Parts: sequence; structure tokens; C-alpha cells
Amino acid sequence: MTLATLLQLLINGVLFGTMYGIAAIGLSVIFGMMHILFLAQGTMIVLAAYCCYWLFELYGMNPYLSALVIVPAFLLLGQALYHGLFRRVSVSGVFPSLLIAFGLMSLLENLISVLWSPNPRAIVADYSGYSISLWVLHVSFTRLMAFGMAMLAAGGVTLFLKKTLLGKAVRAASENMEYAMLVGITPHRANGVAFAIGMGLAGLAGIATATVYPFDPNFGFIFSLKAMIALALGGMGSVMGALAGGILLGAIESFSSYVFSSAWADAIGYALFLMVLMFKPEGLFSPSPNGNRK
Amino acid sequence: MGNLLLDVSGLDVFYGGAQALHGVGFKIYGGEVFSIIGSNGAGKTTVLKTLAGLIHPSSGQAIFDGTRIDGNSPVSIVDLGISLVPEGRGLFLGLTVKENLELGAFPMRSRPMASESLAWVLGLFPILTPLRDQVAGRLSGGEQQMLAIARALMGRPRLLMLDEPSLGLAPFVVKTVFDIIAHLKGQGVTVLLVEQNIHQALKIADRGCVIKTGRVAMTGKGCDLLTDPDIRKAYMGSLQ
Repeated sequence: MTLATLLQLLINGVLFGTMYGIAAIGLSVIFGMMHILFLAQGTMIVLAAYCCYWLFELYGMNPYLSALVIVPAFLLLGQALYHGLFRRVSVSGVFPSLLIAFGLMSLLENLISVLWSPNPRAIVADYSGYSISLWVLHVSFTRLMAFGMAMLAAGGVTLFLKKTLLGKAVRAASENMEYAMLVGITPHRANGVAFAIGMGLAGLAGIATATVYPFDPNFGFIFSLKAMIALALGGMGSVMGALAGGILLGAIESFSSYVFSSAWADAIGYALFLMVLMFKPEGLFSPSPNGNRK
Repeated sequence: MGNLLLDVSGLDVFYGGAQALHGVGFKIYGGEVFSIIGSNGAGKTTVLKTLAGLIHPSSGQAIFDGTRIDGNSPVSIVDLGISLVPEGRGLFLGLTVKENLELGAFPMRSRPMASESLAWVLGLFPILTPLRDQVAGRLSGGEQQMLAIARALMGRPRLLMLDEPSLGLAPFVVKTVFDIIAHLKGQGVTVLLVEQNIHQALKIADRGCVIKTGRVAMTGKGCDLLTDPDIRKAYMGSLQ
């Protein structure tokens, strides 16, 4: 393996992994709040990819510009999903919420198949095949854009959580809901905000997906799985950890599909997922659990 | 004595099948320090949790400044101006001191005053100023207690409820905590104090009551309770 190949694989992996990263950040925010893995995250990403696709096909809207429509729409959709589906069961424990997420995933998957056929779709624009050459390396334009969107999303979510009062309230509520109520934070409001963030990120990830490669309705579940692996690698409850976990997973997949095959890449990813959960369940990038708190 | 601020009567509270409070009632007037004392497990914390809306009573009522609050949500009770510093302090350990304080002013009625409140509480608790950017989990027990009280004050409460503020603290820190309560009283803050440190709690209180196995056994002025022979015998044996 030459140095150039090595670097090329790394770049491909990192750029690809940021998409897992965006999905994982969404999962992480929702998990931190409601303690459920939102299984439908990947399918919501696919739904956003279809929105992007149809806006492009029917109205000729630039996929990147369509973020201005899709992301706000998905933020609202997140609020609506929480208040419509999860609000009532959120008080009766984790299991009903998990089942609802599973049901939502199946429903959406089938609905998309029926409405828009199960055939793969892809956005083909004049810049889709464009790539930037640097020395002997090639960086695909759409993947670079996906990377940029992921960075913006991670930065945006971090800023929101660290700098705004509502963001601080979300962090407080995900640390301890009872204490949060005692300072006047409404649990349903905090949960709703977490869901909105998760879905807003799904919207962005959907656009990135639609521009980078072909997708079909069943793609969502695999995306959820990968995001879950990224989350386990990076550690639950940290935005940058989730992003880093996604990037790491992307790099590992990129290398193992070159060295072995893409089927092996998946197997290696899942094996790594189990290993991390067994030996470092707090994630590779978070300090040990008794390290930062008394 | 100020106007009647909190009127609690006939509170019955159950944990599953076990009755924790039996017809608990007392009155708190504006500007006073009211102490609830009693041994471990007598139901003191249950009274505070019920008033904060974390537990709903099966009967009885609590009226705060003319508004019935029993059975209301914790958030609506905070919005009315009742803040609880729970046992264990209730801090967000992963957030910084400053973030904890800012969240203290989350209720709508206190939000417009947030920056003045911050200056006020940092004046009351100067030790917090250099710790502003520290994560709350890294503070010592005494510092955490100061932060917990400071955060509750950020909400500009009309009634401040403190659950065992001296628990687990070194004696000189306990003294600081009681000095602060005395100071707050001087500033006109009404305080409902629950303590196992009975001597201190009664010394500082205008009035108070004794809770025994979920019932109010005695109500009176702080100084009267302090010198009551039964109370001395039952709770302060070690201090004599």
C-alpha cells in the first residue's frame, strides 16, 4: 500500500464517516434526554434524502439550497413527532418509546416504498462527478460538501447547547430531570427540543446522503445501525464524541473494504462495536466515568 | 409578623401503601424563618417535596399567597416563586458554576432580572466568583451547598425551601450556611428550613414545628421550642 493510497483511503473514510457522525449526534442528543435509541433516525434521514431528491427533480432546487427548507421543516417535524407520538408515553418508561420508534421506522420505510417505489434513487447534477485533485489525491466535491455540512452541524449544535439558555436547560435536563424541574424546566419542552435537534440533523444528513450516493427506502435501518456504532465508539452524550466516532467508523470501513472486502468492512464495524461496549462502554473519546465527576 | 404567605393544612401523603404524612399543617408568614425539625424518616423531606410539587398529596391543601399549589406541577410552583434546594443539593454536576446559576433564573418571572440577580448572589457568595467556570462536580461539599442556595436565589424566590443544608458539611462551613440564612432573613427572604441540626435550626427560626412519624407534634416560636424540655430530651440529648 503506497502512501498515496493510504491517504486516499483515509480521506474517503473520514469524509464518509462524517455522515455517520451527523446521524450519531442526533441519536446522542435524543438518547441523553429520553434514554432511548431512536431507531427511526436512519429512516428519517432517508425521508429527508427523498425530500431533497424530489425538490431537485420536480422543482430543480439546488440540493444544498434545499437545506434552507428541509432543515427547518425537520426541526418542526421533530417537535411534532415528540408531542404527537412520544409525549404521552415518555412518562411510562423507556420501553414504549422504543417500540414507537421501531414502529415509526417500519411505517416510514413501507410508506416510502409504496409512494415512491423501492428502487434506488440518486441526485445527478453536473457537479456530482466533480472532484478536486490535490497532488495524487482525489476528493469528491459532494463528499467534501457533506463533510462541511457535518462540521457546521456539529458546531451549531455545540454552540446551541453551550451558549443559549435553552441549550443549557437541555443539558441540565439530560443530566437530571427532577433537578431540572426544580429550576423550572418543563420535561416535555426539553424533550421536544432534543427531538427537534435530532430531526434537524437528520434533515441535514439526508441532504448529504442524497447528494453523495444512491439510496433506497431500506437504507435507513443500516444507517441507524452505523450511527449506533459511531455513538458507541464516541461515547453517549457528547456531540464531538459522536462526530469523532462517526469519522473513526468511516475510516475503519474504508480501510477494511480496501484490504478485505466491503462485506468484511461491515463485519469488522459490528465486531468493533461489541468490543468497545465490552471493554470501554463509556466510549473511546470520553474520560473514564469517575474521572470528571466527584 | 408579616402577612400569611403559605398555609398548609391536613396534608396526607402516601408512598404506595405506606402513609408518610398524616394531616400535616402549619402556617408561614412573610419574612420569617420557619424550621421543621424531627428525626430521620419523620417526613420532613416529604413535606418539602410535596410543597415543591414532586409528590402529590392524597388530601389536604397548600395555599401560597392565595393560590392553591398542592398537586400542581413542580414547574408551575417554581414559576410562582417557591424554590427548593433539595437534599443532596440538586446541582447539575456536569455544568459550570455560572451555567448552574444562569439556569436558576430560568423561570419567566426571574429571567428579566438574571444579570442583576447574578451580581447579587455573587455578592452574597464571594467564594463562587473565582469558581465561575469550574464544573460544579469539582467543587467541595461546602462550595456546592453555597452554589445550590445561590442558584435557588437566582430565581428570586418569595419562599426559599432548604432541605438539610448543613448535611455532610464541616462545622465551620455549617456556620457559614447558617450565617447566610440569617443574612437572607435580614434581606426579607422567607425561608422554610428542614434540619437535623436542631439546635442551630431553632436558634435561627422565628417559628417552627416538630414532625414525629408524619404528624406535627408541636408548633411554636423557635426560642420556645429550643427551651422545651421534651424537645431537649428527645432530640438534643447529645448537646446537653
